[in-house]
Amino acid sequence: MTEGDPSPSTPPSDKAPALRELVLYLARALVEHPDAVVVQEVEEPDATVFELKVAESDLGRVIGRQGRTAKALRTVLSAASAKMKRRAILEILED
Amino acid sequence: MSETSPLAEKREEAARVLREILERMSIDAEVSAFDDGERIILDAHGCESGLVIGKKGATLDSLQYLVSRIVFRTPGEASPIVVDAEGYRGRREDSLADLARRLAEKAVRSGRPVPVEPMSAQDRKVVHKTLAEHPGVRTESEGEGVGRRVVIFPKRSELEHRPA
Repeated sequence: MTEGDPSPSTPPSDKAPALRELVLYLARALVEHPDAVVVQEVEEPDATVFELKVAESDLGRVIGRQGRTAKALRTVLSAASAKMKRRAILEILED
Repeated sequence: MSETSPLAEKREEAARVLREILERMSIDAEVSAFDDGERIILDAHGCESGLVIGKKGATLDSLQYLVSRIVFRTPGEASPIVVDAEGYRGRREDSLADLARRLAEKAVRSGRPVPVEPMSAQDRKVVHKTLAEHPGVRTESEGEGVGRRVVIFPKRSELEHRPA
């Protein structure tokens, strides 16, 4: 990628790992048990799926009232993936 | 006032969280943080601020919601954090206030309720606030979820004001 700014810290070279970091960062910051947060990345033909797993007691913290937190997470993930020219989907695993 | 007020501490934490999120979104933006004693305002600026804003400010709203949840962990509580980019919210507030005043005139002229397009709670608040002192109209929100909207009612006489 040729962005105008030659920032020395983070060259925007590879795409998917950064999105995984984004989901991981947000989920860990939202929950009570950050150590239990797992994000698995699944490549599908037309998109990258991020499967988010948190402690059962933390589900509400990543979903939010009326799904508001989940919706905000998805909006932020889409905004980041738009730049990377790849569709990204967030799935919150409940089991 | 003192430099170590609780809000000032939260302000720095909120700015750090927003910077860390933007960095992981690979968005190149600087974040400035201010507080006016009541609200914490985080303003992202730089050549990629358009990405921070999103369609009709959707990305901005989501970032604001997430930063609020992360910094003030109690759910349901109103958060004093405002996430903005290049003063976008201020510009949007001005244009929403203009729209509200125009539609209020329409309600007065026609003598009929005028619905405003569905919008976020934050935007609805601007419409209510703009028209709170308007002598000719009163406002109410109607509908649920993403369809929730402000309706502007003409106030022909005090007697017609619906009892609460």
